[in-house]
Amino acid sequence: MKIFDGTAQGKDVQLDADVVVVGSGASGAVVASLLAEAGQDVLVLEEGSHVRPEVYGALRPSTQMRTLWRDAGLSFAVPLGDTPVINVMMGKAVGGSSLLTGGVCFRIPDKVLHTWAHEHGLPGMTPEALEPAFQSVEARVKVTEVPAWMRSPSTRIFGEGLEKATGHSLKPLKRNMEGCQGHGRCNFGCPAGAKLSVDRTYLPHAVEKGARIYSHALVEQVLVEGDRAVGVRGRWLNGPEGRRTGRFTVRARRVVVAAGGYHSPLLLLRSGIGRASDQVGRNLTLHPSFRVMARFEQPVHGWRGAMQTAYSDAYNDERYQLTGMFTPAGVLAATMPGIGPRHVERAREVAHLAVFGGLIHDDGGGRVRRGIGREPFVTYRLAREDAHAMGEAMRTMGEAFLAAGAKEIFLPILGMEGLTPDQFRALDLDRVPRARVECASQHPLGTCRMGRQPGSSVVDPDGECWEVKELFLADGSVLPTSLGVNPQLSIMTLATRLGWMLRERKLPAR
Amino acid sequence: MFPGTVSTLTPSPAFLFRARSLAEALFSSPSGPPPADRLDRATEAFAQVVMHGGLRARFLFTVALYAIGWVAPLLIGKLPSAWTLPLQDRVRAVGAMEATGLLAAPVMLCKAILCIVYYEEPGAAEEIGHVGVGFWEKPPAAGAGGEA
Repeated sequence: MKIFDGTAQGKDVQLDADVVVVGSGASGAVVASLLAEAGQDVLVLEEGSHVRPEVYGALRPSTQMRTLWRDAGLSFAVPLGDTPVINVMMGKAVGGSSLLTGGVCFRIPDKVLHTWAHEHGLPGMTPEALEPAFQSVEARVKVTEVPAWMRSPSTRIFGEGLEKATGHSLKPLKRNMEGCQGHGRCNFGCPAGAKLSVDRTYLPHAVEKGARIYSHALVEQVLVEGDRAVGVRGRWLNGPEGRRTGRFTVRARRVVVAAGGYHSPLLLLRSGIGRASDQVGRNLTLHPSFRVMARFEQPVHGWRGAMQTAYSDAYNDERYQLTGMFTPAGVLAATMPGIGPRHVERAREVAHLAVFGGLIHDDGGGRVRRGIGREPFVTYRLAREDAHAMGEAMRTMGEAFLAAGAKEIFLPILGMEGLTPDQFRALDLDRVPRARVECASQHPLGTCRMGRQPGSSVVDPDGECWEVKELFLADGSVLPTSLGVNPQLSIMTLATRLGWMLRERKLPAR
Repeated sequence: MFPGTVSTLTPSPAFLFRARSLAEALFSSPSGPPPADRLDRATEAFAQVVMHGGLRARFLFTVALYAIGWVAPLLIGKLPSAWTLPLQDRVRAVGAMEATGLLAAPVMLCKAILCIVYYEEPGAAEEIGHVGVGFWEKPPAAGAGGEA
C-alpha cells in the first residue's frame, strides 16, 4: 500500500481533490474506500505514522504504545465530582484505533436504534434499514463468531462461575479476524496479522482505487467559504514528536471529518464551527471500563487464548455489559498491590489470575474543549446511575469468580488490597468513592451528535454539518447516544451508510 | 529500536534518576535490587513512553515522581526525599503511599508504565511465570470450526 509520508513533504504544498477525508481510522477508511471505488478523487490525511502490520506486530507493547497510540496511551479525561480519572486510549496511525481494538464487533443494539429513531427522530435507524450496511462491513472485515476453543482458561473459569452464581451463560463474541493465533494482545497490534483492521482491508482497497493517503499530516482547520466547506489546512509533522514543519492546503469539493470523538470536535472548534448551537464537544460518552481479577489456587495461565472471546449481556438493562479480556503480564502485574519484595511475590501470581471486564453504558457526562497545545481539554462527570452500575458490575464479577472457587478478589480500586471471599461479601461497594476506581476507555463517542434540530445537534441525519454545507462527519462523534457495546462495527456501518449516500450525491462545482 | 519511536526529547537527569530509583524499589526482591541492566532498560523505556506522551503526560509524570519523592517518606516518618532513602526504607515509604487510597494515584500511574516496560523483558516475564504466549491451551481438532 503506497502511503505518502508527510515527513518527506517539508515544504508548503497545495493539493486538490474531490473529497478530502480527515483521519484514516475505522470510519475515514470506509468512506475513502467507497468514494474512491465510485471514481471520486479522494485524499486522506492522517496525523499519525504509517507502520506496516508485520512491523508493528513485532514491536514490544511499550514501543507499540508510543508508535501507534495517541499520546503513547497516556490521555486522560479530567474527572468532575466523584468520578474516576479515565485513561482514554486512541490510535494515532494509519488505520487509527482499528489497530488497537480487541477486534470485538457488535451491531448497534436494537434498543439503542429504537431510542435513536423514536426519541431522537432519526430516519433510517432501524435494523432493517441498516442491514445491507452491516452485511457489507461484516463481509469485508470477516466478522466471525469466536469458537469456544479459543476461550482462554480465564474466560472459561469466569463463565463457569457466572453460570453457577447467576444462571447466566457467556455468549460468544464476534471479531474481525482471520487466523488468530491467540497471542492475547490484540490491543497492542496483532503480532500474527490476524486482526483485519482497516490498514489491512479498506485502506489498501482505497489506494488501489486511486485514493492518496498522507501520513504525518495534521489538519488544523476546515476552510469555509460562504456557507460551504472548500478544503482543509494543516501542517506536516516531523515524525517522532510530531513537531510541525511545512504547511499544506487541500482544496476539495467535499470535506469528510473522521478524526474520532476527541479530535473531530476539536477541529470544528478550531475552525470556528458550531458556535451557534454550542453543541460541538458536548455529550461525550466514554463507556468507562474496568476489570476485576481473581486469584485461584491452581495456575490459570489466562494468556493462553484470544484476548476477547465471550461476553454476557444479561445486565444490559442495568447499564453494564461484561466482556472477557486479558492483558500482557506487565499490565496485570501493575495491578497487583505492593512495592518491592511484596510486589515481586504477588506478581509471581499472575499465572494464577483470571480476569474479566465490565463496561458501563453511560450517559453523556463529558465535554471536549480546546486546550493548550494540540490536544483537547476533556472533562467527564460520572452519572449517579452509572456510578451505581459500576459497583453492581464489580459485585457480579466478584461473585462469579467466588462461585468458580477464587481465593482472593482484586477490585480495581486504588489502594485496595486483595479481598478474601468474606471481605468481598462484606464490602459495601456503593460506599467506595468512584474517584478511586481504576478506569479506562477506548470509546469516546457522541461529541458532534446527529439530530433533527440544529439547536441540539451538530450534524443532520445524513451526517452533514448543520452550519457548513459539504462538511460531513463520519466517526463515532456523530452517535446520538452511547451504545453499551464496543462501537467499531457500528461506526463502520454508519460510515458505510454515509459513503453510499455521498457517492450518489452530486459533487458541487469547484 | 524501531525507527521513529525514539524521542529526540531528552528527559532530565533528575527525571531518569527518580524513575530508576522508583523502579529499583518496585522490583527489588528479598535478595536485593534487580539486575542493573534490566533497571537501565526499564528506565530508558519508561522515559521514552513518557516523552512520547505529550506535554501533559510529561508534566503529569514529572509531578507524580516529585510527589512520590516528597510525600512517601513522610508516611513512614522520614525526611527529606524518597530518592535519598536506603532501598529498604524507600520500599516501605512507596508501599505506604500506595496503600493510602487517593494518594496512591501517583504511585499507580508510574507503576503501571514501569511494570509494562519491565516485564516486556523475557527474563523478567519468565520470573513471574508468564510463558507460552501465543499458544492455545487446547489446540483445535483438525477442521474444528466451533465448539471443541
